Amino acid sequence: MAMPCRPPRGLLAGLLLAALGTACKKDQPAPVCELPPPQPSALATLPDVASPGQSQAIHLGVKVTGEAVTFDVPAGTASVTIVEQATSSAVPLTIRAGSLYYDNTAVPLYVDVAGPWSGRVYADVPMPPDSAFRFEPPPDGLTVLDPASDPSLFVYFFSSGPWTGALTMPNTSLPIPGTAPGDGVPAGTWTVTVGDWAHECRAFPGLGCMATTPTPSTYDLTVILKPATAPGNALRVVFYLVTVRGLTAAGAAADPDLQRLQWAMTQILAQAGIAPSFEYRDVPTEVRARFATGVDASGAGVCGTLGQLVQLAAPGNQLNVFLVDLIKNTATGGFSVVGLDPIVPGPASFGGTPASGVVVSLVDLGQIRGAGCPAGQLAIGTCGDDAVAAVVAHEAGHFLGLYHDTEDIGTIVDPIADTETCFCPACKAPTPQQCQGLGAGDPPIASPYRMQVFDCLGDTQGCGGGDNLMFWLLDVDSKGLLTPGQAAVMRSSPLVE
Amino acid sequence: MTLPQTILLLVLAAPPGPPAGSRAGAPVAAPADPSEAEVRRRVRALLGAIDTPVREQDFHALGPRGPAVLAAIASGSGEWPSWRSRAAWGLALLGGAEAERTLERLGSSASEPFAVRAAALEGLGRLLAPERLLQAVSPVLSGPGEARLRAVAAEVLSRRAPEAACQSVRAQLARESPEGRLMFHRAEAACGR
Repeated sequence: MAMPCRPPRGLLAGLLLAALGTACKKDQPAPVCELPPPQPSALATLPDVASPGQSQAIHLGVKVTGEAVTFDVPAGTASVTIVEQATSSAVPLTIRAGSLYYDNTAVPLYVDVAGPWSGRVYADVPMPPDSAFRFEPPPDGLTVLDPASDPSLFVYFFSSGPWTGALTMPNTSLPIPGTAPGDGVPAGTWTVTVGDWAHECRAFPGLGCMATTPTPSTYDLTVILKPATAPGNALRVVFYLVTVRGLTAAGAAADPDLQRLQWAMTQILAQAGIAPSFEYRDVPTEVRARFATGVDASGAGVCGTLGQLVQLAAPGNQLNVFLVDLIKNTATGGFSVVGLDPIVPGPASFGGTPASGVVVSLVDLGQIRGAGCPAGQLAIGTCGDDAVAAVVAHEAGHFLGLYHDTEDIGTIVDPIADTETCFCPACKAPTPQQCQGLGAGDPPIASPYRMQVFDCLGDTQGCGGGDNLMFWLLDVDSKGLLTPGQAAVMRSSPLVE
Repeated sequence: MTLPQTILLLVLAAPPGPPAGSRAGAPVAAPADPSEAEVRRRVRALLGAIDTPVREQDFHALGPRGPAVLAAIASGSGEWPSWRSRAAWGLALLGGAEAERTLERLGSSASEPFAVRAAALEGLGRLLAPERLLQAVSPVLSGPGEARLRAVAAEVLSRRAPEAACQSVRAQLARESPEGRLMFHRAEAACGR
């Protein structure tokens, strides 16, 4: 996933994550490149009316940050997705905080509802709000980010990425006030205040960040309404074979490792009531060759090879998965990740943007360790095909709106009430290595403890979620589990239809 | 950004949530010499990450027992190639004679998976001086097998020893198939067309 790079104040956790090396802070502005113009949604877009039970897109046109735009949400709506796409090269890719640069993330500033219930359902300043932080253990332990403990946090955002952004509501376990039984959001007139972090830097000097351009950004705005009557269990998965392993679209369906991968993904997603279908696409020889020595995950942002690769995603309401031979980081030469998702959530139903898909390494496909791949039994810890399937499903979870149930440092958890938490201060193994708190009063740890799967298997009360699909780490005890709360968020995405 | 800088920024910015305490100070260092069991435990968290990058200082914090544990994993054919390649990279970050020996062996072994060899070659690029790097990696550049591995060798050499290596890189490029030549695009760019 793309971890958040946030300017300071209210956005402290992201800055801390940046310092921990997990976010996309940079010591220089992002390189400039030619980026794609706004793309159309593949869904029926007004004046074309969607069929009953199908999601409806409303194209609201080009808007300026700070501009308030209204649209109507009828009763019987399961979810609302707002997609912002930058419209010109004048939209900056970075903002500046001190001597560092962060992605100028495209996210609404506010979302308000007027109707039988009226109120604000989302504010990006501050996000996460102060009330999402608490002490662990109470009353005076380390500061942790526990959004599910915030009784007023209806909609959550903890990601970053420039140019293209999306926000699907609901995405927490807390119902938005005024939501009728069976619906996911309240009916009424909704107002979105178009935003990005550059706008926030200009509008809120107290944030301590600076926009790198003086002019407001312009975004093409689309809203997607998903009806509560939508069947909601089909997910079309399109695999792009960016590999020189000899796999082709024509032969993929008969490849035993890809068959096992499909089977494993189907088992994992079935827990969420989602039934995936699979298709394969070849990419041009020059694309395969270009990425043959590895997809570069270094911090070039949307102008880097990762962003360029994901832009190859074809139009359609589908999950685009780029299967590659290797992911590396040429800035550091490092080999530390096997999956990537540009932003949480992804822009569902939009192809051709730098955020239109996820990237997964095939390095472990066909490999086994220990007991290997027992028939009819998911074995993420020993079967390479299942492990790759778990990574695809994990990145799919991000694209559909899920965050890590517990982040690596164990002081940040997700906004879903029924995922088990595994806070470092309570759950870490007895070791001298210390936990990294998020408060200004918490001492910085040179090499903080990183939560292990075995720390979070429920052996200690209140320490679970290590076997969840969205745990940050894969290990022998990984099981790829999903909770009903996570399933609800995933099924809110317009991709599931 | 370093941690102290971050904390400074965080202190300058009003912290969210609970009020700031007074516990912040100089970074707390991990014990310099963790036990072997502790090193093995930590390594699992460095090699199994899905999409959360691992920091260089986490490898350094493994202490003096880190290289042996990482070398064993990098060399272990029963382990995931993704874990082995990450262990190889961790070795390159730590350096030392054992790291050099292990990476040279992995990088030159035709029986190792591509990802492991690629990580080893990249690691050698970090560890070795240009002259030794040229000796260690040139046989891979002109060797048999996969074009993509020769392309990795070309990338490493063109980045770390361009003056000595670019002539060999261009010569190999001329011998590659049309698709193989495309794989050399990064090396070609580094050497100048």
